[in-house]
Amino acid sequence: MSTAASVLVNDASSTPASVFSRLQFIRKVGFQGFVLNKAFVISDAVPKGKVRAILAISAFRLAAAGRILHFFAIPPGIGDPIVNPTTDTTSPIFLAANNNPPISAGVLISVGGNSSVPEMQAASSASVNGSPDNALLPEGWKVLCFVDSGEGVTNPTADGITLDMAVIDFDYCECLPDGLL
Amino acid sequence: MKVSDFNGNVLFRNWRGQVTPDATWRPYVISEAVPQGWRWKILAASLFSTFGTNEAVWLFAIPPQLAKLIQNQTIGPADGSFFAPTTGGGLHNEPPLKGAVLLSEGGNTGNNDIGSGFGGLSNDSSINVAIRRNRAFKKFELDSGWALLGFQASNGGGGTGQMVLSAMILQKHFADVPPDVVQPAAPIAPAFYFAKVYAATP
Repeated sequence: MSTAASVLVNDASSTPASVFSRLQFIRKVGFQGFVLNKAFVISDAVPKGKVRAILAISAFRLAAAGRILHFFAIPPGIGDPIVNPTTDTTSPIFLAANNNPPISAGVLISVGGNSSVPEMQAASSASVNGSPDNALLPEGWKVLCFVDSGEGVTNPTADGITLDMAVIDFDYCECLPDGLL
Repeated sequence: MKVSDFNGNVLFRNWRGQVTPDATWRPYVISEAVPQGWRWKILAASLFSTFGTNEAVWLFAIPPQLAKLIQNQTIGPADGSFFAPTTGGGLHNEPPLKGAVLLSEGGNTGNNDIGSGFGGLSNDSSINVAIRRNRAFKKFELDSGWALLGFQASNGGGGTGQMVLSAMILQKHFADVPPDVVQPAAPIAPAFYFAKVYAATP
């Protein structure tokens, strides 16, 4: 067990600075050929026996047209078969046509609202923040980010989403620091 | 809390509200009550409705006395059982509620953070109703018998539709609740207090 982990096991009353030495950067890229079906990107599942603390999460798109992005936590079962395709295609987690919401299961972790919410507008590689709070994901959960828009389904230029996260994975024998719960 | 305990006690719940029969009913959705002996910490919660127009949605905590009266009916919401019986706007199921406390951000339909769908059924937008911007909500736990209620300012012009409440919940058995959030012991009964104070008086 690492030194940081030992500290956490013995003292969960605070978050020792050494925990942050375990901060990992994760980047996931969704399919980039979005012309017909709305783009999305999904993270890997949290490994079995672990809890993932998401300390920062963001996403961006390259195309210039502004669109809103939503970030959802997806529970195991529903999220298990969802992968990042390599081509412009549909995913069964979206209940409407062309990868439009609603989704079959999930809970929103980003700021919500309609297509006009200013802080969730993504365009021209400008990142949007995916969560106003630190999020804890149990084992098996994933993060899904997708484009939502009220416009027609056809996009004039190919597009896609890239998801970035700064996370700490805690092992089953550790205690979660108080500040995260 | 240990990671293994966290993983073993996180729930995903999805509740669907009644289908409103027409434009005169405001849609709502209620969770089941927190089981006896347990508390719920709401880690994440969101609402969406199948209505296309832009309306505010809110999440409330409902106390046990009122939660017992409410259910997600198939058709025909229980008008007047928990919403005020007066309908100032001419619709059924209008606020204020008879007894509830707001958990989500407040405001009216003009607040984009709580505004619902925009552009129709193919464009349902979820609303984050558990943004923990204030520390009080971060510490908040729902006690046994309480329930969550989501409802929409209006159904925006009619038709049938419904609301869905999704939540990631950390359930805690009473024995697992840290001492700092356990309810304080009952105060000393006045008679006992009186005896204690005055027993030594000659």
